[in-house]
Amino acid sequence: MTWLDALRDWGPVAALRGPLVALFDATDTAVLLYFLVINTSYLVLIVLASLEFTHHLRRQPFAGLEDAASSPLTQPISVVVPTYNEEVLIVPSVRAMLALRYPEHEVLIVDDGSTDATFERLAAAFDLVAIPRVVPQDVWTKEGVTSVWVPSDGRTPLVVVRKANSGRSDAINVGINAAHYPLVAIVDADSILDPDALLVVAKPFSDDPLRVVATGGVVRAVNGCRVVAGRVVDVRMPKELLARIQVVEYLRAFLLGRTGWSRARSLLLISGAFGLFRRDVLVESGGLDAECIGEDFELVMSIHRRMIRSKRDYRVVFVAEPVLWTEVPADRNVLGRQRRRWHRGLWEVLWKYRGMTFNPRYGRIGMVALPYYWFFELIAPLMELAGIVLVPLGLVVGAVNTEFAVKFVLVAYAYALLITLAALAVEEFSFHRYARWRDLGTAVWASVLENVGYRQMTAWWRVQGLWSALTKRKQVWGVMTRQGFGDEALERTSVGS
Amino acid sequence: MTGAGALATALVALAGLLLALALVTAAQRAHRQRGERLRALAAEPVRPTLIRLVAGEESDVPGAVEALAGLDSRTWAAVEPSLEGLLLKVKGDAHAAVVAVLEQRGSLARALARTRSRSAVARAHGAEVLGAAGRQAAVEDLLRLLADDDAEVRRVAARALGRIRSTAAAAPLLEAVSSRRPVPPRIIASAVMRIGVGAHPALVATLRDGDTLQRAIAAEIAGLAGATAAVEALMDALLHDPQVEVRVRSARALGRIGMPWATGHLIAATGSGQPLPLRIVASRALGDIGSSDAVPRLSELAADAHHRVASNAAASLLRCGAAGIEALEGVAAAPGGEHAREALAMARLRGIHSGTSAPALGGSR
Repeated sequence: MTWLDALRDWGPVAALRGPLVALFDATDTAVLLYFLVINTSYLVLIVLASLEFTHHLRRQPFAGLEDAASSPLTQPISVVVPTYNEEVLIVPSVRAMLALRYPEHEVLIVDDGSTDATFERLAAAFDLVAIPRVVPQDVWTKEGVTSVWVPSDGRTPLVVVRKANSGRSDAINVGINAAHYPLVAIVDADSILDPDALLVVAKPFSDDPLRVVATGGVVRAVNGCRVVAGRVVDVRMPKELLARIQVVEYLRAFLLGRTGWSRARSLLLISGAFGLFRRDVLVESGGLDAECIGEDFELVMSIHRRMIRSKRDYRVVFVAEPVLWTEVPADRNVLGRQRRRWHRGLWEVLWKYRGMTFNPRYGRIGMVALPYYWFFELIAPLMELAGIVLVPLGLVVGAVNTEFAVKFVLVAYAYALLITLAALAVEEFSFHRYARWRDLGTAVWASVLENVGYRQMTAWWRVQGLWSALTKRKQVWGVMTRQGFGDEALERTSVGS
Repeated sequence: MTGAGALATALVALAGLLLALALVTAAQRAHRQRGERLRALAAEPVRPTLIRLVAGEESDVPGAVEALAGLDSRTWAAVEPSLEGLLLKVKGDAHAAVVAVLEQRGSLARALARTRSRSAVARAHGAEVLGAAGRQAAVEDLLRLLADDDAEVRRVAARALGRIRSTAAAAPLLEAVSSRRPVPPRIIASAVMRIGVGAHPALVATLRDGDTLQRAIAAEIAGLAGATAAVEALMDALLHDPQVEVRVRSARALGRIGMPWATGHLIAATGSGQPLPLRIVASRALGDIGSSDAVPRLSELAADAHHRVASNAAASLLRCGAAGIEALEGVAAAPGGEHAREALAMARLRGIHSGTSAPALGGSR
């Protein structure tokens, strides 16, 4: 008799076997179906995204960006940048945003009560002076504007709005009020935009001006890339394992997932790091919900609801082009906080808009996209964790056929790996931004590691996020510890000074 | 087959797919990199000739044209995309030289043939090249593509017609904005503006007889193009057009054209009974014209209850000469003069105004 047989004969363990066998018998078909459907849905999204990329890339040579860059009829954009304690990056970020190629845009920094030298650095770099600017209250805000500053040359299209701290969403709402132009881009201060980012995300507004109300672009990880003067000049894989895994995760989930949803005209989420919206639609929607932690998701849902209820023909579009680079967490604690926050936000928004789910009035948003988010985005980590706990337990008590369990787990992870490798293949055929062979190898290896440890870890954090929402614990954004972009021009300047 | 058996089969199939996917990805990378290397190698020796073609002395050009026209097909395949790209980057003699090379190599004839291809991408590519080359002979084909099934092809055809600057294309372009297969207004506007004065009669005719969208876009273009011939039609549209959108764009256009005799019409358009979008734009257009006749009305508007009207009126007063600035200072000193104070502050920064009554700048940070 082996030690395992002895263990299985032990009273408490033997008592568990019956209920577990019953549980597995009752759920095995459902679990198998769930696993098949979720992974196949990813595959479908990747196929849709591939079609979109093919369409997009074949037409890129005559997209007319040059024409848009010089046209007086290209709609001007207010780039709203909520800022809180960003003293390290704020000046190069603003310089890069001012230098974006676009016929007419203003950069509107909303200093959300920073306690570091964010404002002082801006004031020194751009020689800011206060002006008695009138900011309308088109969107309700918790905190009002305390002062408005512009460069003393009176011409640099930069506006710095100061206010007491009230959170990112409220700061964006203040920015919407202060925005002069009909299109409003919401951009994180710690991100790097490609030089043509505004032209690229504004193109759908120009191509379909009556229907397009919001667009988003692809967000990629900047970790490991070479950055010079606020521009990504050489795309490389990060050195840190966690960041490497997130690169492939972003490729699959953000690049391909959202492009696929957009192709299916069911895009529910435009990343809070970069989105472009019609100002009048933002005002109509009441701006961002300052009480909701998933404010970017909430905003797009609010737009969908308003547009569908008022029977307007509209489009929310995801542009299949890399436009924004952001630093992903390389630290486990920071990543954990981020994922808890994301999942909590997901729950809050899904719950807030539960009336739209399975409601035919909301078309494919209500009948396809929202149910998908409920069943596959929200519940997936619970299923994953249940599997992690129950399958080994079942093996120990003898409630599961060992051969079947091992093969099932292998098939599950191989299928998940196939999805990620398909995403890598699509990236290679389309944008192929990671030019070095070493980076391709690293990405493949990261795809394997994502399924061994990383996924399980994030599932745990996501369940924690859900739990904190259900138990109504205080919501906290947390601090993102940044390593900086390693901007070579910035470092030379610092050394020089 | 048992469950475990099915899983084993699935596992083998997945392993095969994973391997295939990895190999295909690697092969694609190797193939792409090799292609790039070969094209670069083929194009490298021709680079000095290309430079002579577009930036050399006048006497260098015929030789460069001849050399490029005589390239072997493999080298030409590597060079042709660069030459097509140059069409949009060079002007004058350099442009003519590039067109001559493409003509001799048959690229333009192929582009024309491609406008009839079954592939939308090929049609768009053909239209792009023809437009960039300024081929008058392609106008008929490009007009046909204005009604193409594919939206991108229509957009490219419209841009191409603008680059060719064919007067005959002006009216069809303006019609395309609201046809069954429409072209976006911004692209139509850019194309018609490129055509220049030759398009002005079509603008006036469209302002009078077009549908709502056509009239609106004709008004917008007339303003951007400074079409003085359209002023009468614009003034008429400003006061009498049944559509607010057309009236708004007519107001903006009149401001851009800057004829002082439109001031009275624009003042009428700022009346409190007029639609808000029209009042907002008209209050700004008055500043674009800058007539002192508008000062009394703008002074009232600078304290208007609506943010945009007041903001535009205050900024407009700054552009109405000394009388406007004096009036603005008066508004700034009175209650409700926030917009006037903001306009004066900005004017001081820009060096437009140095009046003593402007609010102090700097303040505590």
